[in-house]
Amino acid sequence: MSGWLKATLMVIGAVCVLLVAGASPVLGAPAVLRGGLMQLLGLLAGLLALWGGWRLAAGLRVQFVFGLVCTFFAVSGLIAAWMYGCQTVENAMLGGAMWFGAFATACTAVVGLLFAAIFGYFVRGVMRRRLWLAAAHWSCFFIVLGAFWDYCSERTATVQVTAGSGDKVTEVKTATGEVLPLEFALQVEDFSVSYYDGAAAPADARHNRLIVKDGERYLPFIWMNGRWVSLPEGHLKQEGEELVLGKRRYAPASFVQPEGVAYPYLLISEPLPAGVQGVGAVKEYRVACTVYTDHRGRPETRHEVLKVNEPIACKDWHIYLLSYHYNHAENTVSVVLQARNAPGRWFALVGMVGLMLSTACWCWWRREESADVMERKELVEA
Amino acid sequence: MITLVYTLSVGLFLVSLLAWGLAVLRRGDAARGIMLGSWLVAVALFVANWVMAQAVPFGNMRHVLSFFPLVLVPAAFYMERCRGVVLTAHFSAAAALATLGALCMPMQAAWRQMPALQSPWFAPHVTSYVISYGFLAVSAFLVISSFFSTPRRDERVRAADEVVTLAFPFLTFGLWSGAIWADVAWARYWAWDIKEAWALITWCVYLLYFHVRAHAAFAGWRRSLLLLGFAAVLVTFFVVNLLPAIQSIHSYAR
Repeated sequence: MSGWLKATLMVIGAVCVLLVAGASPVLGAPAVLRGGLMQLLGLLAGLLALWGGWRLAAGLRVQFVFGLVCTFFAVSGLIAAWMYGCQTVENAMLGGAMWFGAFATACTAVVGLLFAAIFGYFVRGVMRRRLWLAAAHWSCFFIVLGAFWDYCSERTATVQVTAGSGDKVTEVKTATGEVLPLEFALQVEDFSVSYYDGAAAPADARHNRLIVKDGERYLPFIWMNGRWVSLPEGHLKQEGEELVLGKRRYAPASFVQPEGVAYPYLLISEPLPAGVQGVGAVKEYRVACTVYTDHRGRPETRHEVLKVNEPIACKDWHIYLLSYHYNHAENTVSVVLQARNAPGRWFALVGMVGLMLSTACWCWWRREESADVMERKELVEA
Repeated sequence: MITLVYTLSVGLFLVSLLAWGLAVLRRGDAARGIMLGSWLVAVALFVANWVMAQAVPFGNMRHVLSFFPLVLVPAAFYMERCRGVVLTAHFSAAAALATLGALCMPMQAAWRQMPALQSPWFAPHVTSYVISYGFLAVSAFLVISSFFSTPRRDERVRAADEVVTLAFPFLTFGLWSGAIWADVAWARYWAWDIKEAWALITWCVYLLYFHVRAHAAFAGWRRSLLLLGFAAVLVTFFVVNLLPAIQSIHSYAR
């Protein structure tokens, strides 16, 4: 066994031991550090496995070992990418799903390298530096084309939907007042938010509202930050004999006036929606929604989770989660969504990716440049 | 932890300054050794910032400026080994200036990564910009020094050209990866935000440089364009971020 092979196997073994150590919470390292370490080690393990396979194949003439390692990582990586996308890597960075995060990082890196190597092998012989230059200009053209197309025909609309209300969004209204049908229905089922540093209040936190009767007037208040705050006029309406606050109705007969209290009042206590119990910095918020659409003429119901940075697509529309609002009077959460139909988007995005790739190849493709220089020198000498 | 971050920042500044001084005094080996030491301090500072932020520490100006030495030192060694251009003094100076800038920025111990920043694009976008800005700073130093050294003027302009050629793909990646990220985060790939506009202006100035550099008729423009490009970098990175009157959707980066 050659020295290189021994060294490689020893390093792979050491990395495996470190992977176990990195994944072990008993070491007490902060989760985020362990996540980062796992990713790094996963990447290292993937690369070393490839290299080890290569060395084995070269030393013992067992080329299929290299092929096996490559195939294993390529298939695993493709499955992970197909099923989870970047989520596994993201989870590992945020301190969760570390083993899988490390594995996915390794697989993704190896698959990426394999594809880059295959791409490089094929384009090496045929590509010239000037072709990359041409590709860069075509990419710019695609960006401009996509942007112009969107400028002419992009449709966007902001929609505010109350979580859990059961309302279905089937059409949207643009800023210019144009009403556009979505060709599907969207229902916001649930909303949840998480906070940094475990800053959420206890789950049984109560949200107190108060209506005070002052003569003929009814004054609504809300308990915020340790004191009663007056709600703006308009939140409380009187319809016949009943008072309407948000979507609930109250009868004046239910008002009480204990001895020693100057005014009759009604105290309303309801649990806060899950989304607004926290008091710290928001870490993440998400919306569970149902999309009622059709697939090849048959009705289809899709359950989706909408997050910031993760829009959902249906028909020609993309739905983005922008923000959320807590409605004090109704004690509900409204989510702000953006519906967008941008036909030129793909052209622009393809142009952007093409520009990144072609610029890098054009600037860093040194071999061709040296050939150019040599050609010029030959011409000068001639 | 805050004391540790300050101590490491000051240490990094002093070590980078020492590497720059040794390089100027033409003690190359010593300068390279000290520079390697400064990189280790930069790694420690990066880890400390990461622990404090509980996420990749690219959330504000202090974080980003502290990250510069981490990429500038390997870049200096790369330029020397692979491109045959010794620029230890220039890279050390850029690292020292960036660290000084970081020391001037307010400490935001309680920085937390907001939902829009939790994206796989976040780290590559910022890293590519930091690499490109670091390289462009070095190219600007080379151009400035070429004004004071007539015998070596062409050599320095050539080195600046070499550095900018390496930096431009990173600048391109930073700009357009930001647009792709904005497409999924803000439902639009371009918003004409002031930061975006200045990033595009910077990119266009360097693009213009690449278009004119091959033509002899524009030989006199090269140094001016490189300086103009770096001025645009400064506006994009500092002015837009730090002027309080400027409202930007990138305001979280202050």
